[in-house]
Amino acid sequence: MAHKTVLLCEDEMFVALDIQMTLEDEGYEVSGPFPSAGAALACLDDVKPDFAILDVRLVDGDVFPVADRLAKAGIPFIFHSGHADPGKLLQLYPSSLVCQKPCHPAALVDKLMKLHSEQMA
Amino acid sequence: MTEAMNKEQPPIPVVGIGSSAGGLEALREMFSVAEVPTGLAFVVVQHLDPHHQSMLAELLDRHTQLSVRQCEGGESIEPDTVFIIPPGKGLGIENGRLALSEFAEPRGLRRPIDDFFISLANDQNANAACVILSGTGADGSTGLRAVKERGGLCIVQEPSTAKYDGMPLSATGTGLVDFVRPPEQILGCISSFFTRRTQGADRREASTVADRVDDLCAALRSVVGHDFAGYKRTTFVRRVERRMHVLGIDRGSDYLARVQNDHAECEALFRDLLINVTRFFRDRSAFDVLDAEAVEPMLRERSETEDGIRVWVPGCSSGEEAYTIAMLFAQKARQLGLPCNVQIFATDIDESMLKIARDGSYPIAALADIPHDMQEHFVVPHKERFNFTGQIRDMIRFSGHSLIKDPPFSKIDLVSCRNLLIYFDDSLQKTVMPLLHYAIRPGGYLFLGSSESVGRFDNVFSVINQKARLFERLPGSPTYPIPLPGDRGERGRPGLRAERAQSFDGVEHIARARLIERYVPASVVLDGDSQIVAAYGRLGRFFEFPVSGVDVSSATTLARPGVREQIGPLVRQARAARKRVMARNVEVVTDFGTLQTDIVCDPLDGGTFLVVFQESMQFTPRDAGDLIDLEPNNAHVEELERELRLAKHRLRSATEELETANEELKSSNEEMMSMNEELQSTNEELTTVNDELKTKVDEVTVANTDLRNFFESTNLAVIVLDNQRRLRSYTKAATEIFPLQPTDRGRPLSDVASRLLRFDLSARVENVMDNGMEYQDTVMDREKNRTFSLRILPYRTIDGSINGASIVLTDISHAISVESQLAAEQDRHDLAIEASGIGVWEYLPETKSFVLGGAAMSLLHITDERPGLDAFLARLSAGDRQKMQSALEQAAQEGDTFELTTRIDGDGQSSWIKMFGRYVADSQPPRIIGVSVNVTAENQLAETRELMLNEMNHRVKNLFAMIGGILRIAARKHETARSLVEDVEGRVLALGNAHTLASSQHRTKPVEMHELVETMVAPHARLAKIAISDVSLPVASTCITPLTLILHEWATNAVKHGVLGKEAGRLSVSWTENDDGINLVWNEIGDSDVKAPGDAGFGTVLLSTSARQLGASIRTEVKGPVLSHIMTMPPTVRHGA
Repeated sequence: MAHKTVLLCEDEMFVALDIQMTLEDEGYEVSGPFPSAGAALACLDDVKPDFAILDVRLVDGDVFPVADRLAKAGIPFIFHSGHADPGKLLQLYPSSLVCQKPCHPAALVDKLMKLHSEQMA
Repeated sequence: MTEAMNKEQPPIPVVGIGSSAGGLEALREMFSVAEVPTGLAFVVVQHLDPHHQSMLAELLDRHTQLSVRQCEGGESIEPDTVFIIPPGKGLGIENGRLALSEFAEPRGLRRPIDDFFISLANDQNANAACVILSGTGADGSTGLRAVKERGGLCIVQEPSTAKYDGMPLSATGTGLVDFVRPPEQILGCISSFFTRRTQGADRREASTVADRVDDLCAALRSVVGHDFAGYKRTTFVRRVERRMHVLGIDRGSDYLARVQNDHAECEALFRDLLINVTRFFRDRSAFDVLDAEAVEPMLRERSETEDGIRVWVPGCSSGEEAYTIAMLFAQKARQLGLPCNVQIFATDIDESMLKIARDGSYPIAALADIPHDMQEHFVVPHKERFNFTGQIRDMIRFSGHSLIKDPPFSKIDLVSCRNLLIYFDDSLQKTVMPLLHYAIRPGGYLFLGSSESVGRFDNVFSVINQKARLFERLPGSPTYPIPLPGDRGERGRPGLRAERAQSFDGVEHIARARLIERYVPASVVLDGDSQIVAAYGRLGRFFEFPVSGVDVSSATTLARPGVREQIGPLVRQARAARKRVMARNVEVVTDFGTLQTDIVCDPLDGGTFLVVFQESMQFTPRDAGDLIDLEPNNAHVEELERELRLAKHRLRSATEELETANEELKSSNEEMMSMNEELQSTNEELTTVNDELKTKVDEVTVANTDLRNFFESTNLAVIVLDNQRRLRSYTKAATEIFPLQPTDRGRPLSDVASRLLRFDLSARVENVMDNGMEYQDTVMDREKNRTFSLRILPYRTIDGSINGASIVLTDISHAISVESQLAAEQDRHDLAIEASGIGVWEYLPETKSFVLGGAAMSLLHITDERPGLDAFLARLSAGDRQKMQSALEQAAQEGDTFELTTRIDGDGQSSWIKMFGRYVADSQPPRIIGVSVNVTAENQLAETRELMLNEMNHRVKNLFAMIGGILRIAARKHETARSLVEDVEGRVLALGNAHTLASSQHRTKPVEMHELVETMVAPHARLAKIAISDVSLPVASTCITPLTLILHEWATNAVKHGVLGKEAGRLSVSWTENDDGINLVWNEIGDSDVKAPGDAGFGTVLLSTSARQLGASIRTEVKGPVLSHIMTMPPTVRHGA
């Protein structure tokens, strides 16, 4: 089985590193982490990830352009945010999942695996 | 039947008492002497105001042992109880139970006492008594008759003791009253009457009365002129006995003495004897026969003749019989379609009965006796009584006439004489019968009562219907001597009786009587005036019987022509000569021929003359030849006779005119009577009004006293002027402004000095009185110490006209000073509002409008000073409009206060306004007042603070997330917790310090790079010389954390291995900035050569990750003793870049 690719947008590098390491421990391949939406969008031109974990606020603004693009492409993603209103996010992206920051990377991985299994089903 | 019952169980006598004005006093006196048990029941009928509660029962109850109750209707009569009529109701009694009724008549025409007495008489008969007390008018007098008729007792208050003697006088005027007593003696009277009756003492006395009948009759005849000798003894005795009970006389002889000596008692007995009972259509079947056998034939035969039908009802009493007959004729005439040309003469000797008959008003109960079809046509019913139509009334003439004493009517078609003869004894009946025979024209009818008969006069009256007692008068002249008036005279009767008594002595007397009756020539005894005193033999040839109703007994008037001319001269000559005088061959003209006779006049003793007619020639019948023979001789006589006829004719027409006039007088009289009634009720009402006025006067006196006290005590200075502007009255307070003395009353106002400053009071007053408009001003006194409010008002009388003026002065000095204080307060208040920039507003829920004040208009950006609710709300931000509106509504409904902060968008910038509102409870119209304060500054501050808080929160969360990340990353490199903690704790502390630096409360500027560096190296500064560049480089907040970690890593390494630790040396940190970025150089210059640090381990991960975070690159160079870390950062590290 080929490794699944996760697009990671996170401007806090320690958090990004932590998540990246955890995901890689679980056998995922990480694309990123991207501290900006611009970098993430540029990456999406080349790579088609299977999932995405998105911090809402990035150094160049909100992550929503990325989320829009992902939603359009039918790629499931998880918001990982410290300040945004989860209700509002779910309203905008009904198929997304939300994890309040700070959260244990393991929780993120759980959710990812849930998405994974849904995709499998 | 009633009497029989009475004997078995003596019922309680019921005493009806009628009273009106002044009645309370009389009732009190009457009942206060009552001693229980009286064995009597009482019912008081007092004239009461229908609109007021009556206190009568309570008032009476205090003064008597008897139980007093106001009647509620339906009560049974109880002994020793006084029932009082309630206001506004009529009272009656049925089977011993009291019954209330509504009045039919308008106020003033009501006769509650009469009504009750009549009801009492019908219900209780002889067991009833009636009492009439003080009062005006005549109520009770009619009812009294009913009571008396049924054998009850009638008592009247002594008029002189009555406060108002109208009713007592009227009652006594009927002559039917048994007792006239002061109130306190009335009860005793009633008690003794009923006691005597029940004891039956009367039965023992009956015989003694019977013995005195003749004497009583004589006494009556001498006083009232009416002879009761021919009346039935039993009836007579019973009624006399009743009088004796009334008077408390036990012995017949005593009563006789009383009657002989007491004119009034005679009258009383007379009335009592005449009382009889009659009703409409008494013996219905008899009237049916009359209707069929007499009325119809008469109408068919005679209604269209000139004379019409003449009916005579002698002894008509209260008129029922006459009305009955009138109705029969009218009904039959209507059925036959014939004119009802009927005249009914109804006569009686009792004028009081005739009055009732003329009134023709009968209790409604009697209506049942009249057939329905007749009721429809002839009866005018009212609530309690009924009348007859004009048609019926006009048919009947009621007049006073004695069947026995007065000459009879003549040419009568029908005589209805029912139940009159039963009161007469045989001999009287025998004298009456020929009278009736005379009165009725041949072929006319006689209608008698069911127990009466024509007796032996059946040869002149033939029976038509025996059961109905209807007879026909047979043709033929009246052949029976009419009993002449003298025969009934005072002198004649006893004499005759004496003769009759003696005639029993022997045959001689019989013979003498027979001689006189049959064989003696016709003779008369005349007195000096040619009045006939006695008569003997067959006088019919020489005298005419009376034709008219004129009371004559003059021989010259009655004598036939021939005799008439002789009697005067004969008597005169005989008197002069005192010897017998004789006129020979006198020719007497009779109806059927002539007769010659000698007339002898023989003077007797005592100025009387015996006139004897001796027929000298046979009777010569009149024939045609005779007329011729007689003509020359009798021309003169005929002339006289013609004149006589003319005179008679004139007399008759005069009589008719008089009768007409009489009728008119009667109707006028009736009108007068009813006017009198009205006047009396008016009088009663006036008495009431007078009482009311007395009360009013009392009230006015009190009001006047109140007013005087008010004038004395009030602080208002009031002066009242009359229409001449003279002083009428003033209050005591007025004397402080005007030096008034009591003697000043009546002086013109202009004469009175005043302490007012320059004010022409007089002119103002005149002005006010002229135009009727109130005048108001504020004036000061001369010293200018006090200020008065002055009002001049027109003085209006009740009808609205101006009759003077009132001046009212009120000291308002205090009020004025308070007013000015208030104004000052207001000024200060306004100033405060202005200074504070507070908006003031007022909301009127009724009109839904605002009044804005202070800075409200500018705060709300409204240009209208009085905006409507909608305009006001439009200024508020959309979300707050509904809140504001409901807050206002709630405040108005529940009297609440509210507080609301809202945003106002105006002039391109928004502001925040806080509103406080409060409902003003005692305001009219209701309003909500409020203030508005600009709270924009406070709100902005709060917004900023919230923004910062959010930012801080985010930062802290990031920090935690990062520390979590660091920990987990570090944990991958450590085996034990201790080593992990040692590795991480310094870094966490460093991050803490950096955070402290960045988030200091006093910080207004961003963190400078040198501050950050100093904070990181400061704990180690004591070990080495440290030089830090002071070039200003404000650091972006997002970069502080990675910079801190990098600097801390370097400093830690320097402590462990370099110049900050064991190695001597110095540290310099500097940075340069150009367009491409920022270059920071960390130089450790030691004393000896240094080794390049290893790059394995957690520290390296930290450094690389932090650099990545910054977007920076780090290189480390070692040159001998110098260790340099060079970090190239993008320009974004600078704050605000």
